Amino acid sequence: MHGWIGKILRVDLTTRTCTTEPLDEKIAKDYIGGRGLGIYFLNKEGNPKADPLSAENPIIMATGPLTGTGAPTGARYMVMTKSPLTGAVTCSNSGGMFPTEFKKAGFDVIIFIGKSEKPVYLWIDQGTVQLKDAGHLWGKNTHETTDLLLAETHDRAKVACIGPAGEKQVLFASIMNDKHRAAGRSGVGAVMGSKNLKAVVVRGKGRIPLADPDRFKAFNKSILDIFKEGIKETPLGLTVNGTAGVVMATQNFGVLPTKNWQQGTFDGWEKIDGKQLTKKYLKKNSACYGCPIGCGRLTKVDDQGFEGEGEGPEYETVYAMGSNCMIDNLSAITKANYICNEMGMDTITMGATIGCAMELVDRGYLPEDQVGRSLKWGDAQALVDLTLMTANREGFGDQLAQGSYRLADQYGHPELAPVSKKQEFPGYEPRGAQAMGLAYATSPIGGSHMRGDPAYFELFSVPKPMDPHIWEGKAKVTKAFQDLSAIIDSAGLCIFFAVRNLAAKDLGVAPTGILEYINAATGINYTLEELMQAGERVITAERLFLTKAGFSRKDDSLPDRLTKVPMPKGPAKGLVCHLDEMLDEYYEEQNWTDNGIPREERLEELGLS
Amino acid sequence: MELQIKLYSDIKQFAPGDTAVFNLTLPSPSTVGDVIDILKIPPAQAYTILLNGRRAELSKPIEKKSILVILPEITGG
Repeated sequence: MHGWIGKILRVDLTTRTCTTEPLDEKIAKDYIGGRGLGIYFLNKEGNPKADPLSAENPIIMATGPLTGTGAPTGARYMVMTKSPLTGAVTCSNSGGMFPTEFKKAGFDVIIFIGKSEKPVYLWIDQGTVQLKDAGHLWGKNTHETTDLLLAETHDRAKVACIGPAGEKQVLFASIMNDKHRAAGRSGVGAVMGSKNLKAVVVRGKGRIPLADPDRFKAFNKSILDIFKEGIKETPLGLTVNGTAGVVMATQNFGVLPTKNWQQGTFDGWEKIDGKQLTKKYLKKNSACYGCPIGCGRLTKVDDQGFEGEGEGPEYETVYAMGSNCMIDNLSAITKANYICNEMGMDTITMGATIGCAMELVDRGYLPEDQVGRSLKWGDAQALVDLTLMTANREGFGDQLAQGSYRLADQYGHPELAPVSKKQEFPGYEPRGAQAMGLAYATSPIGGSHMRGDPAYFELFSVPKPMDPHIWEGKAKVTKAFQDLSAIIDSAGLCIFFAVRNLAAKDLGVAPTGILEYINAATGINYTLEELMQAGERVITAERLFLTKAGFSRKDDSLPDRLTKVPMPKGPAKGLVCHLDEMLDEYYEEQNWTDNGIPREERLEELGLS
Repeated sequence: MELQIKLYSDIKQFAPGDTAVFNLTLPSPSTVGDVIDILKIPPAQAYTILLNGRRAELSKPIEKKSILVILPEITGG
């Protein structure tokens, strides 16, 4: 095979056996790779009713046909399993250097099944596979673990691992690779922890075989030439201020979630914006393999009490730990971000859960003596202290480790949790960005913007602007962006480059550039229609898993405060999110029933029946 | 009529004075496009224009006591 390696590694953690099997060419074509192959194997081998933290739940890591090929941002891998936070699928993905090395080490996909009796790690050295004892690594943070593993395997190997939060099964524990990059969402780290799987270490060799290297190279040059020409006059915002530069946009649109999603503007926004981060803490940019953007931030904080060094924060972290908690102290936000990276936790759910706890206290539903300290809006020290306590499940941190929904439910007010399918939202207020509400509600992983990101057309004017206040006509465009995301996630690309540079410049966002890359890499010669249908297949296959797990329209929901309570102030004042109206149109676009279940004829069309 | 203008990032260079937030007196009627012309902002750089928090086309008429925000290209998440 070309583009794909053509090999799957199966690791039975219960029996400690590793076997390889070929990747079926038709399955590869139908599901592309990454997210697509992840859901294919989860549907085939997983049980939608399984306890996510039991041996019955497999965890699948998958690269795509463009991972490691040199296609711009072709650096990603996907982690697919049943989520302990949501009970739905995970789709947690990450870039950096690990995914390319994983593929060059000899495999497209690793399927972990069962559960190890003792802590282990997987070591793949240029195709040779071993499960090794990880007893000495248990309890170590992700940075210590990475350093120790590099010392005992190979200094050029790459590491993905969990920290103490994953070991203690914090429901939103992440898997960290290359120390700072995160498969962050939905608790994939807790699933690894439940299996006593501490890390995956990989060392590869050579290049990914391409079907037509000359065609690939020529197309790559043309795409990069256009990209470089475009940034000549104005450098890309992502490169200059990282993703945190988005604070300026969301504040001005009035969709910067603030005070646990009670309002969409934050008076202290200029203190936490990407520009401040660049000015005060940026040491240099960092980029994933093959990325011409370099949105990563290597930062250092010297401010007393919050000293540290690492990567971040991203926009989502700044919203969740900043405006959402009424915290305008960027050094504290950055410090809490470092703790999440080192201990292995999702920054979005962490910040949103602390914000929710602050509101529970503010309204008198959660006594501060339960928290063990004061917990007022804007308390930067509380953010840092509670983040560390959560990773260790210490004191009140043990309650925060469940995420906001279970916390708020425990104190009798689940409606205060900013979630869909029990997963916390990223930082765009659906009352002032209607399609974002639809994307949150219909994402297969719960609250997420990365499974089809309407911020592009509602806020960033890419490829064309749509009025964010209007709900009409949004279902069709949201579905088109979801399909595009499924293809990007399956190919092994990053949304930041692909949406702007590898899709059609209209709101149908057909994956024209991705098609050329995939065909040159694999030699499969997809038609545009076949590739677009593969994206739809991935999304429908995920929906099938959710349907079997018991999800339906009732779960494609938003909290009442977004659909019934008008935005109190700012540019989106007076608006609510019209989710129900958009959902009707959306299901029609998908050919799902009114209850959100894929129709039999749709399954047949996609070869899923 | 008077209009408040807020410019961000690289677009600040088009402010007439030292501050990126300033007032501009305009004849009535005026449009968003008239303001872009007066400030000599290349249209490609005025990526997203918000009039009183709403997206605005260049042809949009400006009403009294409005706030006009001009944002550069931004992506992220």
